[in-house]
Order: sequence, then structure tokens, then C-alpha cells
Amino acid sequence: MANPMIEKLKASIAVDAARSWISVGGEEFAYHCDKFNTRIIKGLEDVLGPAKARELIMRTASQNLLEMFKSFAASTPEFQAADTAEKLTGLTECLKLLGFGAVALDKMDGSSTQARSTTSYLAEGYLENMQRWGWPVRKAPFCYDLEGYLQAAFAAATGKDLASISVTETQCRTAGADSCIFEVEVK
Amino acid sequence: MVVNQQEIPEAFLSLGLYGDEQTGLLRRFGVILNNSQVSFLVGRELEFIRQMGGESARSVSEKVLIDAAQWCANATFSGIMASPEWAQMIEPTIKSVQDRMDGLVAITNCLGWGKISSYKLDEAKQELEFTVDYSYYVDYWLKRYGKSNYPICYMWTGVAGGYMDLLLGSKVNEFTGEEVSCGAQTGGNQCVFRAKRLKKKFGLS
Repeated sequence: MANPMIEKLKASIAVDAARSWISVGGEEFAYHCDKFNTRIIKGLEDVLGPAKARELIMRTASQNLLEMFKSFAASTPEFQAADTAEKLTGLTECLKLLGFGAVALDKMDGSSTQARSTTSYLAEGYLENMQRWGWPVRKAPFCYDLEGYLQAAFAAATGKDLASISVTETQCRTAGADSCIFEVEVK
Repeated sequence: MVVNQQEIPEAFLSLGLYGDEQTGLLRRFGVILNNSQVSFLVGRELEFIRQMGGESARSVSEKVLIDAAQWCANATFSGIMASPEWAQMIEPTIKSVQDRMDGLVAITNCLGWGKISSYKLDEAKQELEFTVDYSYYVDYWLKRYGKSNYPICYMWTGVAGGYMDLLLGSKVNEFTGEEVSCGAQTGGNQCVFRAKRLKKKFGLS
């Protein structure tokens, strides 16, 4: 059965070819490829170090996406009527629609959730860079923006602020794991 | 222009630019695309410059961002030019370097980055100049900060060099891009970019 949230999001996609302008949910979007996003993160890590690069990417991703999710939720009765689990499912489907990869929500246990992705687009991009450009196997996770997007999804689904949601990627395919694993805690 | 600038966007969009229902990945034109908020794309770059120390470190910060974009342009557009979609839609119409640039422009104009409205490729001088209408940086900046004192379209600047690396070079960073006029400075909606071959130091490569 079609997910009404996804159908609504799809219906909101607008393209103005005269300006090369794309809008989703009333907000301006643009297509980029994994090469750009992985290279930007590598550049930030090289200069700022991995911890600051992660914080910057995750915060920028979560703050911006939460604003969009809030706006989308406010105009979507189906979202407002759904329970938290249904909201989370809908929001992770939105992430798939946008091309960020699939995320499965496993082991939901009270305030703790384990999320798993075998197709995080950043991991896919990094793995391609390993093959093509000889990038090394990482020692630490890489999917910073997906951490931020999950933080925004949990904040939107629970109605809490971003500070109440912690997301940590504990295993990453770029570091040799089979899946990218994200531990989510809601305070 | 031999490459049809009308048909290609239609064909591009008809491919369905959503992530796959199972994997959530958007593999098109030989690369993995994703659809990000412009507020994220520009916001992370400006935040990076701020964390680097702002004005005092702007030059080196901009180099990091432009370099990433130039590498990206090389990897992205070489992937696109090797893809089955390119082979089917665009390659048959290409008979010259100018045609190849037409093809790159047609694809670029589908991505939501702003629209390349005109360009001049001088193969003899090894220079490229192009105008972008509605660069996604400009509206973001003007709405938040008013006019800028300096050009801000870092991704486009890298792409300018990246186009030339692909069209007339043999590796990344043989060319360098520059934003010579930015809508964020003028308050208008056009930005102009130029790319030229990097000069060899002391006659060495």
C-alpha cells in the first residue's frame, strides 16, 4: 500500500527548468553525487579533524532537515495522526526517496533504538572511492549526515528537540563492517 | 548547439529521480545521486569557513571547498560521460569538444544548481567562461546576509576548472576556476565563471 506521506512528498516535488530549480516540500533542493559529498567530508576531515568534521556535518544536516520535517508534518494530517513508530517509518521512507539509502529500525526498546543500513549512500560512495582512488579502509565511521538525518527524524517523530536525541554510528561499512549501525537514544 | 538542450532535461527527469524503493539509492548516469537541501549544502560550507576562523582563514578554506568540487566534477562528469544514459542520449550527437561541453551543460542544468545560460569555450586559448543564472548559493546568501563582499559560489568555481580538466586536460587540476562576478556581490541573479590552464612554474609541469 502506498505510504500517504511519501505520496505527498513526491507530489510536492517541483521543477522549474528555466532556472534549473528543484523544490521538495516547499524547500529548495539540488542533486549532487556521492563523489562531491564524500570529497567535501574528506576535505573537512583533513583540515578540521574527524571529530569536528562529524559535528559540523551532523549538526548542519539535522537542523536543516528538522525544519523541513516540521513544516511537512504541520501540513500533513496523516503524519499528525500516526504513532511514533509509524512516523519514523514514514520519515525513513522519505530518506530513501531523497537517495540517502535505506535504514531499518531494529531493536526499538523504550528510549533506545538500533538503526541499520546496508546502503547508506555515503558509505557506498566511500567504498567506490576505495576502489577507484585507493582511499583507505577507515578506522572510524563516515556516515555523518545520516547520523544527522536520523537525529532529525527522531526529533520530528517524538516531538523532542535535537538536544534530546543522540545518534552515534558505531559500525560502518567504510571501516569493514557488513552494515552501518546507528545507536539512537531519546532522553 | 547540436545537443538538444530541451530534450535532455525531459529525458533526464523521465528517468525518475527518486531513490530505489528497496535500497534508497539513486544510481543514474553512472553515479550515485542524492537530493539534498540547499540550506544543508551551502550551510555546511559557510559553517566550515566560520570554524576555520572566518575572514582570516577564508582564502585557505575556499581552496578546500573549490578543490573538493573540482575533484568531484572530474569524477562525476567522467562517470556521467561513461554511462549508458550518456551513450544513448548524448554521445551520438557529439562531434567536437564544443558539443561535449553542450552535453555537460545540458546535464548540469538538470541538477538544481542554477542554470548555465551561456558559455564561451576558446580551445585555442584554452579558456572557458560561462554565466550561471540563479546559482543556488546566491539566493541563500542574499536572504540571510545581504550583499557579499566577495564571491561565494565555491562549488561552481571548482566545476569550472573541472569541466576544462575533462574537456582539454588529462588529469585533475590542470585548469583552475575563478568566479569573476557573483550575484551575491551584485545583488543580481547572474554569476560569471572563468577557467584557464594553470601556469607551469619555472617552465616545469
